[in-house]
Amino acid sequence: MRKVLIADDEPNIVLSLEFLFRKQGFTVLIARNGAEVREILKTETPDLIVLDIMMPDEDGYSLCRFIRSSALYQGVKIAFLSAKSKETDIRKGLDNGADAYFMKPFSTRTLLTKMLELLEKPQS
Amino acid sequence: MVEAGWGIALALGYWVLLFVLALRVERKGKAQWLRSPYVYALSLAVYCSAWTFYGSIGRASSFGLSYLPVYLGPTIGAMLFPLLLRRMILLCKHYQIGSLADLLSSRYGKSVAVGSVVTLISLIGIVPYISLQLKAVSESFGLLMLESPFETATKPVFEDTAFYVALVLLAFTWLFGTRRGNMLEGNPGLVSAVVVDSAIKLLAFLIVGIAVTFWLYEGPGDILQQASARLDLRQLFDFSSTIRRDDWIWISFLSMGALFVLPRQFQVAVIENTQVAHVDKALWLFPLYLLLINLFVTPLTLAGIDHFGGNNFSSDYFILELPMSAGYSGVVLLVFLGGFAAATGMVIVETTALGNMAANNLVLPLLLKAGWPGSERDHNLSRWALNIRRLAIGFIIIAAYLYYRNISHWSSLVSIGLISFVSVIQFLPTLIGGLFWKQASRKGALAGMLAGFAIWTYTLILPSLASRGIIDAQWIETGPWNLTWLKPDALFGLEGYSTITHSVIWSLFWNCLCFVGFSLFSGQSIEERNQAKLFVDVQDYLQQQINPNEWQGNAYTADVRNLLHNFMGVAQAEQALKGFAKKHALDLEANPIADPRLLAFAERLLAGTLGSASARILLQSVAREEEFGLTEIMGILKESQQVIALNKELLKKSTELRKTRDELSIINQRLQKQDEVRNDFLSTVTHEIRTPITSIRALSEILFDNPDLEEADRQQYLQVIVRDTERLSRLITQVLDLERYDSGRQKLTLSRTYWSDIIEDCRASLKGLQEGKHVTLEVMISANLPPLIADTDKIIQLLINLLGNALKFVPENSGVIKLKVFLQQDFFEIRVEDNGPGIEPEYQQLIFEKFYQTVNQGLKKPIGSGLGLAICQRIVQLHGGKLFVESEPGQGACFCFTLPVLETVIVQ
Repeated sequence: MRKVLIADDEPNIVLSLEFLFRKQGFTVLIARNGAEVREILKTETPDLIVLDIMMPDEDGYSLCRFIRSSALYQGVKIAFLSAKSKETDIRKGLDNGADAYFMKPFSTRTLLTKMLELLEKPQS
Repeated sequence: MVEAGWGIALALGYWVLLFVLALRVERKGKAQWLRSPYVYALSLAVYCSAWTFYGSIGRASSFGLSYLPVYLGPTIGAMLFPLLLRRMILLCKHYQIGSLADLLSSRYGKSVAVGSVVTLISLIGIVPYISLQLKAVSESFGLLMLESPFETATKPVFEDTAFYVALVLLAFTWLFGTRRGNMLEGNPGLVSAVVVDSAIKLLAFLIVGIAVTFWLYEGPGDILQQASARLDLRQLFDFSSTIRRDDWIWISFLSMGALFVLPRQFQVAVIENTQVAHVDKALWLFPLYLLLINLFVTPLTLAGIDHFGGNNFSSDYFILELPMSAGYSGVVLLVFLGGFAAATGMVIVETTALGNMAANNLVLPLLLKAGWPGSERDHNLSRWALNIRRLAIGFIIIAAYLYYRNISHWSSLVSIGLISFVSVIQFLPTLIGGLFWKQASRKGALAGMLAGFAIWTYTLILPSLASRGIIDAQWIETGPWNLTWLKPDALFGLEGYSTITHSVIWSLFWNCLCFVGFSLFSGQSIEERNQAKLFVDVQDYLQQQINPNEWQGNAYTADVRNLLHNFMGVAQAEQALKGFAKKHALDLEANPIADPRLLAFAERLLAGTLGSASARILLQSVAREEEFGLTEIMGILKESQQVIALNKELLKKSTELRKTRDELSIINQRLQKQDEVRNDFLSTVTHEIRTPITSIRALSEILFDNPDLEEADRQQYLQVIVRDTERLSRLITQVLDLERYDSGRQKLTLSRTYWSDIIEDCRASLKGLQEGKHVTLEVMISANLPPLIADTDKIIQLLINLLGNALKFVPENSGVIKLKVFLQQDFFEIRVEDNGPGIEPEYQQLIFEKFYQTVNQGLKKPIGSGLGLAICQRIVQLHGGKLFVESEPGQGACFCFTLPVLETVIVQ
């Protein structure tokens, strides 16, 4: 079973993502802030992490850098999912080590397809 | 008697020669041969008067080598030419100075008093000296006639040669010493005569010396041998006596100083100088002349002693008597001519110089001050000045003659000469101080000169008057009132010096003391300070300014005026010219030829704006017809004037532009700042809007794509969609609200309401929330509150917002919120207190900013947009109140606002 970690402080958004990934047979882990992400990563190694950027305690960029800095999570795919839509935000996300950047609001159908494609892609 | 006849003929012939020569020189204009350093040096030799010619030998026969200091002093003095004389010449040429009195008066603030004092001392000191020359001429003539000097002196006036000599010299001086109004132009005729005089007297002295030494005797050794047989020469030429050594030093010093302050020396060395560079050659030529003329003094003296004995009454005339007794008629006549020439040169120059001083520094200032000659002065002033000079010269020569007739035969040539020297030496401290010491003041100069002159009178003149029985001689011996320290020949107990040395020491001592003392402690007027600077720093001024003499007569006043008009503008130029004309008492309209001062003034004016070089060129174009024509220059000026005007315009414009640019840049910065704020706001708003839209869209799609969803999930998803839609619309409303407040479009609808009603409305709105969280709400309203006049809906919105925030943060079940309303002076104060976590001090301002939500709100986002407090603040501000927070972390928070108590309702 593949595992996905969803990090977002908006419960209503988490609700929809949780449903979508469950439907594809994922085990879904949920974090509502940076601290919870770090906590979960101590025991779990997800295949995919979906990161919001604006969270209450820590922004997604630094979380992403933290994950990439550890050898433990080399094979983990990271995707940003953010309402920030500026070109600089996207570049910054990818520069910090993410594999993809998706914008809110999203189409459930395309988002899932792209997430699955990302998982099939070999590690760069 | 044959020689006497020849003598008269020779003298007359010589005079005719001088007249013709001087006339030719004057007619031809400045003769070229006069502009030579050798001529200049010969003219300086006017120093050697008849006193020298005859007196040296007289003095040598009485006091041995003591005649020498009178020549040694000037020889040393010549070494100071580059330092002193050069400066004096520069000053006189530059500042239009015509005499020593003029120089000193000008230096000390153009002081009439200084000029008068110098003139008076000169007259009193020098007139006997002039009479001395008359005496020498008439006595030498008497010798030719084989008279004793006593016979000569007692002849009736009309048989007295001196009388006729005086008349001829007066005529000569009138003719050649007062030709020009402007003294600075010099008197070439006079100089030519002086130069011939100097040449003749040197020639005569050399020839008589050679004749006596080598014809009469067989060389200097022979003379020495013969004379020493008759007299103990060692006694005469002994240097060992201290008295004599001191005399040597002091008399050398006296003569050295006199070289610079004797009026005749000043006349030839400074006023008649044609070229400053001549000073450098005179530096050795003049001492050479002195050496040559003294070469045969000792042999002639010894020969005289050998022939006539040591204590001869008329040892002054050994030079004449020696060739006479030897029968050398030609030589006798030549010597007579030499002495005659020496006297002539001295008298004409000295009286010219004294005449200038007397007229310009004594008589004219007094006349002008007395308001005479009235309104005609402008036109006739220079004629007046000339006539006064002539008159003064007449008086001086008559005075000298009278002095000669009545007094001078009592003393020898040398002593009168030295007494004169001591009188003029009183100018020396004032002169040197004036040239090199800026602080030297008018009062110092006057005090110094008068003190020196007083000592001179007391130590030299009174005793000589007493010795002639003119005043009581008793006090000379004992001192006045028997005070020996006041004895005129041993003042303050100073004894053991000759009377001359004694007088020099004390007069100069008191002179210097008073001069320096008064200068240091009396201060200077502005005029004095200016003049002091001009004189002491003359080199600097010469480099910067032009010599006004150079701008002489060639320019037309109209041209200068036109030039100034064109450059400075008519009004300004006219104003400047008016001031100038007034200052110098000139009528610019009257004289078509520009006054040199006007040119200098115009140059200074132009130099102020154009730079000195350009100003000079411009003025040259007017004054001298240079390559540039006047019209071209005017063209250039007009053009540059336009350019200047244009530039001024441009400068003004560019200043305005720069100001505008600066203002724009400030506005731009403000706009950029506002833009940044707006961008931040927009991106935040966008983010805040996108969040509910995201969940609405995602959940809608899920509902749509999954018809087989369980009913519970479907219900949950729909509920979220509805709530997020509400949140979205609330957000949009608030953003629009805020925008209305910020743009000033939000208006208040005032009405009269009671606080109890408002609070009731709020309670009703929040009831559900409050009860769900089990929070206690306590309301405390002061009794008898006046009704509130405000926009009731806005106040309710505000209160709900604050109470809602409080509800959000208070703990569940134990939460307590207190609402207090009371009067505080003219304001209602409303406090919303909670027992929540409180707010850290650093956030107490930030929470009122848009979209700011405190970080310690907890992980779950409270319901709210982050715009609530920002809107609250605007509502309060629009009502004229203040919203603020008081909180200590852990102690809860209290949001307070004030609202004014209004009396009337403005119905809109």
